[in-house]
Amino acid sequence: MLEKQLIKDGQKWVNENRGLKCSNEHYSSPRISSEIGDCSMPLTFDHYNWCSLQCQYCFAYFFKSNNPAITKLTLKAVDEKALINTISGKAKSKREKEMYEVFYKKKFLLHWGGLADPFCNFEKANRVGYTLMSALGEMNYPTLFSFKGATIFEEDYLALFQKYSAQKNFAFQASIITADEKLAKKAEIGVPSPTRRLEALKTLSDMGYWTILRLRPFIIGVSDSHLDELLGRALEAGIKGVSMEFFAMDARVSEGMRLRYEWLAGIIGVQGGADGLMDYFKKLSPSERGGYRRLNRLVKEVYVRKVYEFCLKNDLVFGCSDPDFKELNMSGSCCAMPDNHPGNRLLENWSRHQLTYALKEARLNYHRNGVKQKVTFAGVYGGPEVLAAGYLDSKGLSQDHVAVVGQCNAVRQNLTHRIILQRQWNNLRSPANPRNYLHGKLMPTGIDSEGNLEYIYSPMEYERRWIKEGVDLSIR
Amino acid sequence: MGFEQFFNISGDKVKKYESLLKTAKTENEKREFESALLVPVALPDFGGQRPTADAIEDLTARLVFANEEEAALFNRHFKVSQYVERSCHDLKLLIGLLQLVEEGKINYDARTGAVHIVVRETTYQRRSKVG
Repeated sequence: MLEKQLIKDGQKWVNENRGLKCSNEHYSSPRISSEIGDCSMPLTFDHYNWCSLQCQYCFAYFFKSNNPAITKLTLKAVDEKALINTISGKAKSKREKEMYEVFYKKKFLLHWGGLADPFCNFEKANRVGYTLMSALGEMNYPTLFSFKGATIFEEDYLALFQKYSAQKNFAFQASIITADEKLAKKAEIGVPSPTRRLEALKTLSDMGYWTILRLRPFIIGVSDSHLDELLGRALEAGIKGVSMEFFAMDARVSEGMRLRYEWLAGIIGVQGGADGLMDYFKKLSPSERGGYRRLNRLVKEVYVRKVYEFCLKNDLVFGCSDPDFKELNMSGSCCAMPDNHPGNRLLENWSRHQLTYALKEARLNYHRNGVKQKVTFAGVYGGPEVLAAGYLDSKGLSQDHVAVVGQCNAVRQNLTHRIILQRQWNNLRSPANPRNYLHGKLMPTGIDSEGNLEYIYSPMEYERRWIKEGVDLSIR
Repeated sequence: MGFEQFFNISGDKVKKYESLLKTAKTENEKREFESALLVPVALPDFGGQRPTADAIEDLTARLVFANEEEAALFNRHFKVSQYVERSCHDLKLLIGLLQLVEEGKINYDARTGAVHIVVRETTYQRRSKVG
């Protein structure tokens, strides 16, 4: 009954929005991701404010349905001409100029597909993205697409990507959570089947692009049953990396989300519906991480090991965006973008001033040199003399961060991302604190010379056990 | 190696879970095994010294007025925001006044609270008065 209702509602959304044209209002994007603390590509972009797809686990749906500022459903697109002008150095507004100085001038990697799909039905009807993609190709601007939608199969889009395939300034990651077609159809309404998405990856891989299987969200009870099949088929499609992250459950629930949780509980195999699922997540998630409940690493280990070993065996980049096992990343980007990309070096142009990179380096230092590395705030995010990241010290750009909500104007206007990160770093009660967020992978040892908390890499039992069982943990 | 010892218990749990996983026939059973076996362990507390101030706190001060009249006077000259908490960030007037105190152009008696502007007359002005 519930399943029928959700699928019916999802299909209604997809059908009603087919061919929908944008309003005259513009949507503001790119923005800086609030996951800036451990994200290598904080320059995140969506060209529409909504997505035409209906994935039942969608975290963007969750955020938007809990956002009191969103009061009407109007489809808006970015001002593509203004954005192209800004990227090419003809910025007009203060923010545009700052974005140019901090990101576009340096050709910082653009991550397209943060809260909506770049190739969903809205793109098919409006083609705002096509104009932008052409311009990015012309400018040789490095861009990573996260997608599921089918518009990429349109002839002119394929021709566009074929045109720039020698230049290789684009990279692609397709999100697939299961190889089971029937299950996918129930969970991802209006989304092309896993087979179709694998075809898209194959087409793009054959063109010579860097392609990634985005195994996100990995839902235990859904993604584990056909995991071997999915990995095998993705490998055949020519992927170069796998990026995984487990489904997390927010303690705040909107009415629509509760229905989805009710339904997810049935698929995952938890008794008691949404309440049962909530209890399951509450029991198995470390309380130190707060209300955004992520299962603890013991539950995830079996699956992470399988994917990690698969990547080792097939020479793929393993990426883990989950705070647990984040140390296993084979590059400093948990989206599985490579440290080195000889095809186009601009695709290496993502930030190393973040926790994922530092944690990977700490893991290498332990498993190659036997050193338990100390991790300092300045070492991760750069000291005052190292302003390579740029965006960390902007007062204007920090207004994108969720932490400014509820702050008084005086404090808000003086905030920078560095200050926000520093507060989290030094507050052992904050769920975003490295000790809590990584659940013990980094443990505080004292205060450094600048007055910030100092952490140390904490080797765990699983590392010793995996090594004993022949798993190499010294892979870069 | 204290942390390695701390997490040793976890390894046994995972091994046991893996063997039970093979015997599970339904997803429900798997979730029950997880709920029973794989409960997270609380992290040890940090007993060392903690930092107490950061950059914004260094720039922030709380003002407490002696009475409502003083608070109203302050409000008339500084744009105090009423959003979430009372605050103001445009303190140019206050900073300007304090700089005059520093330069000796305003005298302030901390004991009595008396304030007066120091008028420095030119030699010509002084002689004119005498004349």
